[in-house]
Amino acid sequence: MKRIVITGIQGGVGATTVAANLTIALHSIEQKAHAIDMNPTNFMRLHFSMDPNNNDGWMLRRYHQEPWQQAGYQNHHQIPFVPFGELTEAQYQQQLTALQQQPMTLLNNISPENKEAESKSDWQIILLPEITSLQNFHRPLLDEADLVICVVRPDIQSYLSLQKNRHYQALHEKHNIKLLMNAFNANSEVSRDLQLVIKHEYQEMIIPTLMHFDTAVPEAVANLTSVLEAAPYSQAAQDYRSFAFWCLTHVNQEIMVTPNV
Amino acid sequence: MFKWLSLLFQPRIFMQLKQQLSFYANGGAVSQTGRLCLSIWFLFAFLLLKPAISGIPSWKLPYLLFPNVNFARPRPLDLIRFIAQTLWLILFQQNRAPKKPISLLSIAFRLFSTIKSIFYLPLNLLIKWTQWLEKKAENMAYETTLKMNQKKHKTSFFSSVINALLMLFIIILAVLCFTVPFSLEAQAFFVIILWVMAMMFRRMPGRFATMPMIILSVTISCRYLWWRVTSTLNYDDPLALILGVILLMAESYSWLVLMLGYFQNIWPLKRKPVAMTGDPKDWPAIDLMIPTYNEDLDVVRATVYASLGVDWPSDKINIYILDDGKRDSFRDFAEEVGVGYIRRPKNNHAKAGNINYALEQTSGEYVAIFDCDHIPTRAFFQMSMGWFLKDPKLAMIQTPHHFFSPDPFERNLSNFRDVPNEGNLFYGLIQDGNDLWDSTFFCGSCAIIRREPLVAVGGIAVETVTEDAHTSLRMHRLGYRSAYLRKPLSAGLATETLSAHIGQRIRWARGMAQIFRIDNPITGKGLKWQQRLCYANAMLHFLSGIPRIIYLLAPLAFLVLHTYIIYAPALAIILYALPNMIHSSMTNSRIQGQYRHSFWGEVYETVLSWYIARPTTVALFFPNKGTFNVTAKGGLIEKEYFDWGLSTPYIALVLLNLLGICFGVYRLVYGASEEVGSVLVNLFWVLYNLLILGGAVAVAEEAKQVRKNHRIEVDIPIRLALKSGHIIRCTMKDFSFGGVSVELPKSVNLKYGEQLDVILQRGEQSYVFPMTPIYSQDKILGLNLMDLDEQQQIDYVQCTFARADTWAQWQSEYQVDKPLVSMYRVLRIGAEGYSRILFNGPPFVRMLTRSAVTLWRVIYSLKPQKITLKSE
Repeated sequence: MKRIVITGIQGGVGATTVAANLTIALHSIEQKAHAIDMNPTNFMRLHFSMDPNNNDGWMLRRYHQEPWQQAGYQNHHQIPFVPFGELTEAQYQQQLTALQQQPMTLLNNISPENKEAESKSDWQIILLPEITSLQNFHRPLLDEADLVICVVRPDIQSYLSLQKNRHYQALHEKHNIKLLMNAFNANSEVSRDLQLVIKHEYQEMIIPTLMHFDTAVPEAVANLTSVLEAAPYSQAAQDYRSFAFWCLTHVNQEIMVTPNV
Repeated sequence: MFKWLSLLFQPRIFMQLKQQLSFYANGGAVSQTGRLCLSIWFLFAFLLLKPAISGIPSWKLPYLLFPNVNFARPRPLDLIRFIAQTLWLILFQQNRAPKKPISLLSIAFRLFSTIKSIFYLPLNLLIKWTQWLEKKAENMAYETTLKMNQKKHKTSFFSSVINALLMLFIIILAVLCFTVPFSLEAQAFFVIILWVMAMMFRRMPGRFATMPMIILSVTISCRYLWWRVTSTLNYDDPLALILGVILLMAESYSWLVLMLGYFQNIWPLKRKPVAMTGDPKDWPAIDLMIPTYNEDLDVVRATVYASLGVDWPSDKINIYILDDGKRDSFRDFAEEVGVGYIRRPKNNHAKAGNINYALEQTSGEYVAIFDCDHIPTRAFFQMSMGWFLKDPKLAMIQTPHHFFSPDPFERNLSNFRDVPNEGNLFYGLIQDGNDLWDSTFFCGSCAIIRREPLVAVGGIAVETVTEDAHTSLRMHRLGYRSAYLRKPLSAGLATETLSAHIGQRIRWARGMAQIFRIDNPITGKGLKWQQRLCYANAMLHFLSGIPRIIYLLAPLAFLVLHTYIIYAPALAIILYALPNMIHSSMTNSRIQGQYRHSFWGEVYETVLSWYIARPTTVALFFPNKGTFNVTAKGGLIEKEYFDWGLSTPYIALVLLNLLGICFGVYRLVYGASEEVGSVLVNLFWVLYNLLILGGAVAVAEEAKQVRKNHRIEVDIPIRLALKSGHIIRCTMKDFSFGGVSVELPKSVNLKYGEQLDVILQRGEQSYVFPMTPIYSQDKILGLNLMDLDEQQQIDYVQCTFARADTWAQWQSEYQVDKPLVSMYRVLRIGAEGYSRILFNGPPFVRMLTRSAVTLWRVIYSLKPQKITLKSE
């Protein structure tokens, strides 16, 4: 199983959208993929047409001490995903402390129990909270990921965070992070300039597919669907398809060059 | 006349019949006769026929069986059509049961193909072998040229003796082949053998097979010329002798050009670009010069914008507008965009003087010259400069002149992008062939020259009106080399009217003739013999005017004056002349097929012949006469018109040839019976001349050119950003200075006047251009550029015209020549020419033509038509 962990340089850069649409785009190129939402905002389900009033999620199941797999859902294209769940503050704090005490549980939970049976072509897309809110129990996930993607925007906040943010620096030291530029606006000069600056300064880390800002994305979410389905000819849909393809080639390449001893 | 049916039928059935009637009416009115005919037919079909015959409702049968008759509104002549079609249906077009083809035929066919494959077996092996050899040769081509042109290679005494002996042997053999007199039977045998061999070699792909074809063609041509000189001149009749010698001289000229052409194009070098190496900081400095005289600022603008984006270190490139028109608007523009502006105090020596003055003001190591309407792509220097660093003796590199607008030939014959244009042969093949012999010459634009050799020859030559070729000739004399890179790295506008086009060619022709006198490449110092031949060919090419006119008049000498200018029996003429023509056109089609289709050269040459005949002759005798004229470009032709002035000489030639036909027919009927062969040969010649002349006349009708901005067809993925924030991925189908048209993934409805943004990519950067939709049809959307500021205009030109790949499809679109297809097209163009003359003629001619055409259409409409019945 190939694991892609997605986080954002800060809140609101679009990590949730990227994670959900990447999962769907991987399906569109005949790859089996499932998505797990580990971001407490719990918005990934909107891309998978889940009823917003449905509070179910793996965290809630955990609270009720039920197997987390019970919270697995499928959208109408049989794409599996696991929402985070809606908890009260007290419930959430309790679970948080529990997880903090046993940082390995999350990883153990979501890793397939039977190593033999796991399919090599499966993809697991994990959405983490933004970098500043990462917890100790997220670390093992990052360690075990085939690809860690940090979503950034071509704006000054992202650029400064890349340069100065201590959370990012800490993460960057330990993991091989790839940066994905999201919501690029060709109409705005600052967007164009910062895109070039970031691309130039972080050449090795940047993922070559550039995600454009496209109104089709928020529209699709508002309609509880993915942009690939709602607007297949949009630039956003095209971007996600090429991004999925990039992931496919990149991860497979990494696996192949790693000596298999 | 239809209602009477209601007396017979129930209302329900009558309604149905009425529907049938409206089917026949097909939305139009139905005449009384029509009603009567159809009502009778419906009654008949209803009462006596099956409801459906072979799957078709029987009431519909006349509609399907008589597509040329409108039953709802029959006209008097329809009766004839009806009868003719009935006869045709009954007698000819019957639906026969599909029979198995006779097996004997198929056996014979199979046998034939087996024999053929056995026969071709050795040939196929030979093909494989030559392909292998050719690959080797291709790899070594450049090195070999270098060695050959530097005279460095040392050969051993032994091998040079062998070479000399071989050469001697070949010469003796060749002289024998050319001169041995044959009887007619022997000549026929000889000709057929050579033809069979040529047909065999023609089947072999690659360049090696071209050479034996050339050898065969040379043999036949030399033999023909020898025969012409020795045994076809009539010394007894002074008039025939004089005319015969004139014709013979014209033919010798053609022979010489043919031989030189073979030599020139025997192995086009097909030079590849060399990548730039080293630190860009060490790359040489270039002065990019854009000379202009009276062109519009708009024309110059695009070139400057594109130059600003050329990939070269910005501190190593200086752009200069060389304004000979001394216009302040140009100076302001140059200041605005930050390029150099050079204006000289005098105006002497036109473009050459303009560049020479600028050379004194600038200092870059290299000088790139672009005519003000040639837009360079960004890759221009990256692709071409590498050769200068590789070869220190290289003085000049030339790239093709590519035109994105149709030239007058293409526009008036409407074959733009269909048949290779006139310039294609030169830039596709001849310059590449010259490159092998190190004699590529400068063509005035889209070229880079090293300053040092340019200064060494005293700048651009000013003595002739073709300063470009003259300059490169001088550099060659000093031992510098030149190169040709057959990559379309820039594009420009073609001349817009035929008269302007002819004017340009007259200038070239005159200039070449001047060089021939002032600085003769054959006798002058410093050139290698190969270079002498190549330059000689370039100059001879422009002397084709008089020989062409001689050919157009030659058959009249016999038909009208009744003198035998070729004093030989008709059969002998056929046996000598025909193979000569067949071999040369077959070989030329093989060599030039991609760049010029057979017979088109005849049309181009014929159009020019009259006009270049005089200036070249004058220039040959008085090389210093005449002035430089600027070629006008970028204009509009608002109304279609026929250029009577230009076509007068051709119409005169047509009339003369028509006279020849009259005489020919007269001689055929009343002449001596032993003359029939000669009359037929000459008649055939006249007919051929007439058709070529027709083509020449057809070009004179100037088609409309109302579009100021020429559209360039492309296929580039781009993005559209709507004002709502949606971005749509789509394909740009064409662009022009005014806007683009795109193909959307599915059809959309946009509001008229709604503004949107087109996002174009240049390298990694995106540029946004505001546009408004002007039309929309299905998935195609036409967009007009809104007002752009200076920077946006620069970006737009750089994202479109200056893209490195915009012109890459050049050449690849043309179909390879098929001589017979090409001949058919030329013949059709010829016929078209005559119809244009008649339709543009004096009123009574026009009226006569119109009525003749109408009459023909009516008669033609009587012809029965083939029908296919499909069961529904």
